[in-house]
Amino acid sequence: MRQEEDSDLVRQCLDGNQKAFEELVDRYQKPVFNLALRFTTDREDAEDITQTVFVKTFEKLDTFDPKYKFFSWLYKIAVNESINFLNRKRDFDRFDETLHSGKREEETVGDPEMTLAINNALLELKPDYRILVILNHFQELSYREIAYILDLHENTVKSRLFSARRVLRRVLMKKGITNA
Amino acid sequence: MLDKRTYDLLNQEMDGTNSPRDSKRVREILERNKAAREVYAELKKLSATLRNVPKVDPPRSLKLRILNSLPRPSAATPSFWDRLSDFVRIPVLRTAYTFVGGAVAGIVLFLAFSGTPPDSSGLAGTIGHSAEVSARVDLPEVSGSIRGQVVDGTIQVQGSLQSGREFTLRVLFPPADARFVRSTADQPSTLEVSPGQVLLAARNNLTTTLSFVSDHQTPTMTVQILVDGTTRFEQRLVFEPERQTDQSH
Repeated sequence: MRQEEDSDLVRQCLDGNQKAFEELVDRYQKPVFNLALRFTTDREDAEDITQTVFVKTFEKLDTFDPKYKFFSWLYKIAVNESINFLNRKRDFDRFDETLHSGKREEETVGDPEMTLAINNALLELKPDYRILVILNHFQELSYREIAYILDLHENTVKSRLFSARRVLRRVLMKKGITNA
Repeated sequence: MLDKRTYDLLNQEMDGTNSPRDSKRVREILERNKAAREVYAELKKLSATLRNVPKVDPPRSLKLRILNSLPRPSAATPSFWDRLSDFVRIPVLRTAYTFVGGAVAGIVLFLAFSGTPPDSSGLAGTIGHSAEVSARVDLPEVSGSIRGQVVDGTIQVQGSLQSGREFTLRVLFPPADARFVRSTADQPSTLEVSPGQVLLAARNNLTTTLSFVSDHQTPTMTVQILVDGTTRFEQRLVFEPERQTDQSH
């Protein structure tokens, strides 16, 4: 149902109806923002990524294949943009500096200590693992959807996700989170 | 220590993707294997912990930012000029256009010569009339973002810029309207301050916040990026500190 509506909105966008794109932004800015936020743990970076994702989505709208879910396609762009963003940061050898400098604007909704601990634990995962945890646990996507988004075989998704959980479990236990 | 097959089965069980046969097998394993029970319990705790992390609402200004940064549509709909051209071709309206056009031209000329000449905003124009404004920098040599905001009466110009070469971030402002207070730059850079101008020369990437104080109600600043002494990027930041802009509805 939702997918048909999304496809319909895409069609309307391609016909020049910008309001339809506005509706897509309304629907998906929050999940995209949260994906980027979990990946970078920085609100400003997440805003920048979200903005770029929607601009790229708009520009590439005519390449969207309606046989796929729109949000999976959008997430694909969001994941690529987040990874590229991280790589750019790493290239400039800045990411780790800012990561541990305490200067970043961390998100503190809910239990701030818990959120911070989980953010830090996520950051201890390598990006390949982190994105899997985010897509599976925070975005609640299936193996198949994740496989499409990351261009991986479903079995690879499973195998990496389970390994990522093992590492994350260890990190969180070290921080005294999951065995509280 | 669990073998990989058992660990995978436990994960799949938690995800609800096991076949009925594998689920039965998991139940049997859990009955007789204490280590498996512990791992399974930990996996469930992990899942619950992550599930409890709340989703964060993006700022309400984000939608506006996104929509403002979309490229202009190149749709098949007729452009303004096409429509105007079609409209003008209607014979009975030509006389009316002559009068209306004359009146408009008169008003434009009057405004042009009667008031203060508008400030030239340079390459990219004004980007906002709110407490928070931002723009992307997408040059071949420098990329990133510029953000301006008013926090507790302090104007902050933040730059997060990546480059593989030397460049200069320059902020221009009317000296009577604002005063530079400090800079935070966590990379090697050279700061040069003079009335109405702050120059920050960076070797490659630059993350900085430049703070200013102003009594002016609508302070205007111009942010420039110079590469090899040439202005490659220019953006005006217009703030209205007292008004909270929210156009997300």
